[in-house]
Amino acid sequence: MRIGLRVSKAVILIVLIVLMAVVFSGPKESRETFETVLSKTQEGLDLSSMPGQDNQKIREIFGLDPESFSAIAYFKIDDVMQANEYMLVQFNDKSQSKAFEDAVQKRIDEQINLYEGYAPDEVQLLDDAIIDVQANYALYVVDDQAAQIHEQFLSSL
Amino acid sequence: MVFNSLIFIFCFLPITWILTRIVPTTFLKNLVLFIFSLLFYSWNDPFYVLLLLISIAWNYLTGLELEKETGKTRKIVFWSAIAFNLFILGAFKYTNFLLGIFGLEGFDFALPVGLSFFTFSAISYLADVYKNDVPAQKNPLSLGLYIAFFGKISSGPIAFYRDMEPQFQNHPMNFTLFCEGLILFTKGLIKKALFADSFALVFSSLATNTSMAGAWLYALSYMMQIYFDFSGYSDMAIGVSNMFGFKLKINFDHPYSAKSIQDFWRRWHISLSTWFRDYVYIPLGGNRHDYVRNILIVWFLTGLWHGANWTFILWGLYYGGLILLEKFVLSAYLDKLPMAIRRIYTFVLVLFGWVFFFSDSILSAFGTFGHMFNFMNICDSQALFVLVGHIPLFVLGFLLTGELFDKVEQFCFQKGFRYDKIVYTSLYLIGFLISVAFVVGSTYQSFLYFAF
Repeated sequence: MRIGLRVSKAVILIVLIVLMAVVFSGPKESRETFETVLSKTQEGLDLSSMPGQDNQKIREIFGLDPESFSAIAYFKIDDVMQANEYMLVQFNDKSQSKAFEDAVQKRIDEQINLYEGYAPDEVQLLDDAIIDVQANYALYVVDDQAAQIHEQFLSSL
Repeated sequence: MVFNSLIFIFCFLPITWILTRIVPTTFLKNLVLFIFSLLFYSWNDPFYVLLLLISIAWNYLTGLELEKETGKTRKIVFWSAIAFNLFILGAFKYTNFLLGIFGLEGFDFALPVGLSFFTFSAISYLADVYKNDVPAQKNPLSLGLYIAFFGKISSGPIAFYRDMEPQFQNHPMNFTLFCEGLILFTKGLIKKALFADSFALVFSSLATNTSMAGAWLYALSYMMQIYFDFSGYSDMAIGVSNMFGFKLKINFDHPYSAKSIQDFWRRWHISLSTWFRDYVYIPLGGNRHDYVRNILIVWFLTGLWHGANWTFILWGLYYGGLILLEKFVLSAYLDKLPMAIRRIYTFVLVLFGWVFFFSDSILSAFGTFGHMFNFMNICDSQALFVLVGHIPLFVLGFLLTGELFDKVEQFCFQKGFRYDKIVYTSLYLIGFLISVAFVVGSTYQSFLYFAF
């Protein structure tokens, strides 16, 4: 009986170790400041066509509360005929990433509905949109330079 | 899942209650409750239900081991099991904090909801069995329900095993207890949806205000928010437990009417204070020897329990220091003061404590203190606007934190006014409907103590 109890506890211990290995093997939080990540993500790219937008725009377009995040920056092209935009966000905690991803996905779907039928290039850009959550940071980008922006984002963390 | 969500109020709670009511035996009732508790816990993050099951299984087996072992082996079994529980708590709650101290990158994972609460419940079980206060639980379902019961898993109250143990064999779901539970649940929902969330809006609107009045309002709004939030949650938790035939002790007893800091902690989060008293303070020696050391250890741990941040540790030590100060210096003077002055003294010191508690960093806390005594900028238009716009909220909030409401309620019932039950029920029904409207209007927020 005693041995049985000890063996059972050893099995539980192993299960705990496996569970913790899964939890702790995820991406690590970046300690880089938001400004550093943003500037490194933008470095060497011509993104002047997408000026920064204020918090009101983030609320309007994504329905997100910018104050709830540690930091957030949103850039969008002024031309309504084009879908180019990108957003960088730093979370206060991981639970915020789900709301962010849902809001961005909703935005992409709405944009696709808007452009479908008359602007196939924009739809293609939106289909290739990148949403990447890396621990305490996330990037959303719709642009023909999306892959490069994403690569710089990853290396900036 | 949270208590103040429509899915809980209108689906989860009634379905669970009906099923529990239908099944004939206590065993089946407990089985239904356990299954639904796992569902409740896994609602947003199914992964961590595995951690909960690990905790239940480990502590169940340890209980059986403690009954079989004697002497030194028993001691080793007990302390290794405590270490196991604290290891889980430490790994998930404090790893990133410790890495941060050394400037290292933290890991990316969400804190399991209610981890501190169910770990403390588990430790309560082990300690009670180890001290031979209760026999080890032979039925894994009963222990599983004690640790995982959805009525208390997210934010307590931390139910003590010795109090819960007799109830697993018999928790009759009678009408009177159900009605008491329903009233408490409604009271909690009103506190949360109408008051806590409204104070939360005031608090967030004043976050950047630097005037003296603004800073005081900022701190006061948090003080009110956290009381209505956590005591509201506790009311709902005790109410839900009552509906299923369980009786939990009260967790709040008008803490802002306390007449000293020590009295405050007899009234605020009573289950946590009692837990630390029974399982840390008394085993350390209580007031028999090394009183100062014991107090400081307990309050350091109380602060740390609330979160992995220096601000929480400072908040805990602040209370430890105040309790020592009262014990050795102030008690003689406090006893001579009029009750109103003692209450104001406690209220103001507790208010200062919340500044440490809600601040992101110690620097930010002292920044807020700086604004609270910024005589160069007494008031600005924003602070005035917020104050004028929320006078009824603050007045009602202050009245409800005190004992007035309960006294009026008791008076009406004792006097046995005509139609008192109809009026009473109608008032709660109206409060419930308004609270639900607030929940539907998506102005609701999660409970603050979920983060702990």
